[in-house]
Amino acid sequence: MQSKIVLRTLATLAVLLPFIVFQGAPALAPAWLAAKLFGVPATAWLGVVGFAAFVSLIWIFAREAKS
Amino acid sequence: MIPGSILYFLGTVALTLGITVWAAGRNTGRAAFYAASSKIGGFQNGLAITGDFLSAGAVLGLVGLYSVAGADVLLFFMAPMAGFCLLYVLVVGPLRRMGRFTLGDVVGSRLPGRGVRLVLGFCSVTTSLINLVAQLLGAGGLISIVFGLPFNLSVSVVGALMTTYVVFGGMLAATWVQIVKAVLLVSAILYLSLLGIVKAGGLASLYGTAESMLARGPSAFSFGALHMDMYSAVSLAVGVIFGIMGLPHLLIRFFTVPDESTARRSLVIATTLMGLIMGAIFFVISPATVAFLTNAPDIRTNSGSFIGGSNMVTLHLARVLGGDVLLGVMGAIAFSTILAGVAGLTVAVSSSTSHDIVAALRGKGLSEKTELLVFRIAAFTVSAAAVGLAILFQRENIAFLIVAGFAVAASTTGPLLLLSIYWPKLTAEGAIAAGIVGLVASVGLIIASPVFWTKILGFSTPLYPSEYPGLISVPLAFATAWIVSTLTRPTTS
Repeated sequence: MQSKIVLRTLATLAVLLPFIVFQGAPALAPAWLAAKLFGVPATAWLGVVGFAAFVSLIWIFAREAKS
Repeated sequence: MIPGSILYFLGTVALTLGITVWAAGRNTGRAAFYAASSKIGGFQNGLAITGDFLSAGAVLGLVGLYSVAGADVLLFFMAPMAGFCLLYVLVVGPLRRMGRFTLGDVVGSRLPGRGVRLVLGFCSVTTSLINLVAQLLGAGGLISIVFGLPFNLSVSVVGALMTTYVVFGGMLAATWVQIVKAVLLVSAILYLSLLGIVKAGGLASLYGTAESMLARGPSAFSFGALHMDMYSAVSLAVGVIFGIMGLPHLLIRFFTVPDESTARRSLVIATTLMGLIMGAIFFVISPATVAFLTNAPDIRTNSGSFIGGSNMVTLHLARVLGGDVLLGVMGAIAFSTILAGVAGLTVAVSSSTSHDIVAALRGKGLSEKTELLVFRIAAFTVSAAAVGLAILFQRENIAFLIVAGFAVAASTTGPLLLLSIYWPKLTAEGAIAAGIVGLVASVGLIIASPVFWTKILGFSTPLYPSEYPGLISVPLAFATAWIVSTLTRPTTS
């Protein structure tokens, strides 16, 4: 159980990490973040991916807890 | 005054007072007042948690920040999402198993004694009071804009309403007010997003217009506008994550459901809804404010800033996209957001006062009748104090106060909860010392930060260079707990 808690904590922090890095050191943000996809900046899509990732994570945690 | 808006506002007040009257008839005792008799369903509690988090700070403040800094505010959106995932993993289950009414119950179940409960109660009250003042500032600004009423009167009206909800309706009224508000808010945000996309002629066109409006052009959608260094970014994330795991008004929501499984389910629902709404705010509403408001007439003061400040850009967007009718509706929803938020915060402060602080000071538990009387007196006192503080600090930045509330929770209640759940060697002395050190460190660093030290106190150089104290105050609280607990005898086996 404890290893599951550690793994889940690390998974959550791993999703957050790029956002901390890009915020604190913008120079480290990859060049493709300046590009556009369907006319929408990649940073905006990155936000969508981030929200989707966190929501998916919590559903995975909940599903694991049930099984 | 904005035409028709008085009807929407009065409708909101009537609806929330109606809920209070309904709840008052069902409140029969302490369990009802503190935790809605633990009979709220998972989906309803999920909505209430969503409503609690999507307060004036998130809905009004973050959009305002985006209008200034562009997409560089992404961490402000993502850190809370990580906080909620970690709340699920680390806290929500044990919290519901160990607690009944307050965070003092949770820590007290591990570490009996007056000192721990007193310190935790005091930290909870401090955190919630800071948040309460922030919400009242938002309410004062909103009512001043819509009705043209003086700030002091606006804040006093909201104070009177929140006292009424809590004194008569307790947690049941605060929860249902929050649920109704959450439904209205989710619907309004989705509608406003859709309207923004349609009026702009599609997403690509929306972003294209936003780019052309900003002097920085496409770089507005890259990182770096806030000039935040790595220390501040990590400190912000630490403060938000541990803050979410320690915010009393948010955590006591898990006592309103029957069991652990429902508590977990409600958090999954809340996180999903928050992902949807914060996603819509970041992806559509925020760039829409840039696209539609940059050159819009009649929304700026002579100095060029938005009327009502950057916190009010969501309302200006509603007016530009949907006219005075949508502005009135959005204003009423924003008002209900604040009313629901302050009601929940007042419950958190009052229950901590009556159930933890007063009981600890007396040295023995109070009778149910006396405790409820103390709860009501606390609600009156806290409301009056919060209104007084809001009037005193009416020129302060709402976002700064919200960050301060998070920082205090992250450095006090958050570490104490985590340690009491996961570290069997924590002693009462260690918990008391950690609470005091965390509180002093977080408040001290907030005072020494650039916003307070230079902008408010007027000194030339801040004593602490960052606006986010989490990276120092949170580890300091954990370290204090470890050192003092190691030096003192364990109080429980």
